[in-house]
Amino acid sequence: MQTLNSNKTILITGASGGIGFASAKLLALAGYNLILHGRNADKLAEVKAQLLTTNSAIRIECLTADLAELGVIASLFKQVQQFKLPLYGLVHCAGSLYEAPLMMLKPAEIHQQLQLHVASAIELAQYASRFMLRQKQGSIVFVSSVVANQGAAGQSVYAAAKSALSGLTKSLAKELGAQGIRVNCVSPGFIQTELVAHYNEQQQQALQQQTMLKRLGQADDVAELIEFLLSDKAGYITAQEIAVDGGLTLP
Amino acid sequence: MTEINTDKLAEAFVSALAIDAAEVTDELAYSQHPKWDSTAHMVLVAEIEAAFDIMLDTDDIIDMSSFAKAKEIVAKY
Repeated sequence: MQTLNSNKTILITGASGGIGFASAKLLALAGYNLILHGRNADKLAEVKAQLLTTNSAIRIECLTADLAELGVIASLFKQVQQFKLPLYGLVHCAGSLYEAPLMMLKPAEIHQQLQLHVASAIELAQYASRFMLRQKQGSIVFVSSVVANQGAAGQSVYAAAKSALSGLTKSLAKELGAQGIRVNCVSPGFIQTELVAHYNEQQQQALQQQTMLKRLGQADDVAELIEFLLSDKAGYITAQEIAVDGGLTLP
Repeated sequence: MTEINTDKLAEAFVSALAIDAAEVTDELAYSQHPKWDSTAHMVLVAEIEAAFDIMLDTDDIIDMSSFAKAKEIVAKY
């Protein structure tokens, strides 16, 4: 069945993670074809099978790579090329939360985080935009964090890496806007995903009390915004950084 | 090095740079022609990749400074 989005393909990195998977589910329901990226082929195959039960009319391809490794993105896009799918969107969800006090940061971990969150975002946008330029339309969504603007003790590298996405979003929006490509960034607050599963009950309740809505976020809360930003409904929205944090960011 | 379809490459230049076909000669060069700026270069890369169904390496994108050079580069793929 032809739907509004059946001629559009979205590449989602970190598609088996909390926000990535929630986004993939919504985008599958909306009829987009999907290219799912993850580090674990078995997990991705499970995700693909689940998504096809929600919408069997879409095409789903999978890519396995560790984005923290140098040089993997070029080969990843050579595979994208072979899929012969018109790439319309990029959602960069892949990431990991590295926590360590300043004095205990290891140089290798610093570089790994910067590669995973910043360099990979730049390279992904570089390659993805070349496909989007062919159709003179596209939408790129980066996933940052409220920590990027607020900071957090013990998360200096993570915060530094995520805040870099703000400048990247605005610069790419300026560079690619005339070609019909929009670039936005979402900043989740405390979302209940595997990334923060190590927080104990007490820490979670404390964070819950800091939000205006008095609850922690769910991956679907963020995925709804991602789907909106990819859609034509957000056709005049670019260069924006939007928080999904239940009001955590105001003092 | 393989033979490439020069007409197809020229069409990509005409479309991406919005110039007349007669202007596409070996001497046509990046930043020398007023319409071949960094934005047009981006569009040109996309046009060439779509026309020849290839993914150019970043070094080749940077090196593609003239129509003559573009012929050499595309022939490598």
